[in-house]
Amino acid sequence: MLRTQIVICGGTGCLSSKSQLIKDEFDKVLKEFHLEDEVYVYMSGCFGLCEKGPVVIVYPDQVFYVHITKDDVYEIVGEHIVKGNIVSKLEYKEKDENNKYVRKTFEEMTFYMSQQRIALRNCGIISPYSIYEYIARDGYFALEDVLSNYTPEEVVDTIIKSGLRGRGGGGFSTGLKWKFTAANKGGVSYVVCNADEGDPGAFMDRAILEGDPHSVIEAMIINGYAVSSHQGYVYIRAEYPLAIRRLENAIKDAYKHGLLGKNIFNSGFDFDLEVRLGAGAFVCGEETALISSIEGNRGMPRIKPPFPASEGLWGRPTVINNVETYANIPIIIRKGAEWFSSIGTEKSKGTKVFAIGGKIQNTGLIEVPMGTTLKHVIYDIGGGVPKNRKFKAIQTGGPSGGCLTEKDLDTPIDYDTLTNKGSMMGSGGLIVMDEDNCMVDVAKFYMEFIVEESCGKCTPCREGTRRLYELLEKITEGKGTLETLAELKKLAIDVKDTSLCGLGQSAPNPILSTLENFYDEYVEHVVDKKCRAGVCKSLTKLLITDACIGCTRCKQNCPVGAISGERKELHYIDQEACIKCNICFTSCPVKAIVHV
Amino acid sequence: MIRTKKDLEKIRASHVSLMKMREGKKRFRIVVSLGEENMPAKETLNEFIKVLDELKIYDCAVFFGPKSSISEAPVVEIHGKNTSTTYINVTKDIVPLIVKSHIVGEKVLDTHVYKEEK
Repeated sequence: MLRTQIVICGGTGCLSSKSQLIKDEFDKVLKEFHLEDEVYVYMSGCFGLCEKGPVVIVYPDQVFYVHITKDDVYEIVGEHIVKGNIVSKLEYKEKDENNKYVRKTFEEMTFYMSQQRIALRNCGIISPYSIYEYIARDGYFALEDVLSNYTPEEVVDTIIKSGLRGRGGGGFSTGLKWKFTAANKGGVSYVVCNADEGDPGAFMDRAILEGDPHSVIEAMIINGYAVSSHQGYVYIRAEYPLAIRRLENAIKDAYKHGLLGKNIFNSGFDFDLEVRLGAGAFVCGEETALISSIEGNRGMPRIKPPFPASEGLWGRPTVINNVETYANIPIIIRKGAEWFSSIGTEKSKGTKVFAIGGKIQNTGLIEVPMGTTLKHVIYDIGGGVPKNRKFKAIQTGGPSGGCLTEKDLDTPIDYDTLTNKGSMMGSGGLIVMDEDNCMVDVAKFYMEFIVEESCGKCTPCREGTRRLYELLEKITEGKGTLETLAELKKLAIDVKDTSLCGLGQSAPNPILSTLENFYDEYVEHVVDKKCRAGVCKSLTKLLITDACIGCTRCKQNCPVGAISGERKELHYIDQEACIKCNICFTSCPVKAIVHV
Repeated sequence: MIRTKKDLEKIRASHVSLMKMREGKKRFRIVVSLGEENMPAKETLNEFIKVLDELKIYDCAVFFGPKSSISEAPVVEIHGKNTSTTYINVTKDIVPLIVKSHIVGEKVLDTHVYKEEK
């Protein structure tokens, strides 16, 4: 008789930390103990708390084991599963009000308690390879309901009423997009899922496709019915092999069970779905470039209008939504537009999935109601900045977004507020930075990314972003002046105003927002020729102060042997040999190393 | 092939206990302590799972706990929101009575409650 379930995180993060080996070991050890019939072991999609991976949960007692290796499996089975003794040293713990570490079960963890998981509702819960587990969590009931009881217009109305806006970055009303596409009646039309997630550090869509592929398939069929389309495409980047594998498996299963293909639920409605792989160009996340790529052409955007709703794929009306947007559709149908629109803010309804990374304790994937403050995300869910470093900025919206500062921490996260602050929601990447980050260097990093990814079609983006990068390089090398800063700002505004597509129009955002919020740092670079974070190598020198306790840690860690000194004596850095990698700076336990 | 809502409902029903085991917010946590002999405790635990499943009660988590210091095994602890009750000598045949009284009726089954010596 089944009494226990062991779920192992099978998201890309945990798999790269060898969680498949953990699963194999559980299978082997459970067999040794003759427990195969009592314990069910499976791999799920991403749990979200990537920082603690590989993660294993034991049900029904909800014990959350973290940083598990293959070598821990025997003890978990032998002690916990066989004897009922939880392996305390492997269990997740949190500090209580007395600063003592106490055990927390899955449902008690602050990281999850502060979240509201709608798009991620099945991630980490079901096996992505089981259509039955998806159905057991009410999957495909929305589709059945729509095909049995709704007119296409009623479906569109429901989505409009829900207030759902595109989660890919644009934030346009999903229902209206469907309505405009549906209005172009007659002939062939298409439904496309944009799974070309390209922002550095963002992996929300990948996690949904890896953990809950059927939710996207179900939503696309519903979308097809609503706009009278019988053909869908999922455009996904080839760098997501696991997501592709699980999605293709799910599509195959859906066909096998009659949920794709002809006469779905005996309704007379037919829908086919195919996967198209992208080569990884960032610009293909822009819908017209994506269409061009599916058509077999080079992925380049074109001028809008005409919008895809009237002239899209192969010149036919096309509705394009991203993965997270689609993941919300079935539950909106099931629970109603009113339920969904009761969550979030006045103009931004529902929840948003964010990938939080950078200088934060709990890196991973979270989902919170729109309107949640940045402070809540960073400190309560994210656990704050590690190593007692001071929070400096948060970059929202990827390369198209901007950097917000401490004064913005009470900002509610929604489409309009972030845009008004000079940043944007984007697809949901949140990168936290501390005092060791140089904001000029951050702007340069994103500009370098954009220069690489610009498709080259329009001059402002192709040439302008390269010139912007060169100006930033000049500043970080100590060759800039105050005039350089003025030139940088003017060119950034010009590129923003004159580029053809969203990529170029938003590319200068990291520059403009850092100029706005960290102008003093730019001035330090060009006037004082100094980088306070010690990141810009041409502008920094590392010195060991009298606070040195002679612990030798810096000397041991220096990769080029530039540090000398005896134990319990003041150490010394050879400036000629130093490559300014900052390893000594971060490894010093008493902060005796400074940038000058 | 899935052609109707009934087909979906059938699949959902066949997976309900599997999925419910993964849900949090349980009304009761039933911990079956492992005694000197594993088998009686295992029988007790299996009986709890079986009876709850038959009654379609899915808001209880049943699992093994560590060996109890009480000698009258099998020992079962039932933890509610603000309550905690220890039952002793919970053999297989006692399980339906505990479920009926404690879980369904939310009344402690006095005959098998462990009473600490004063």
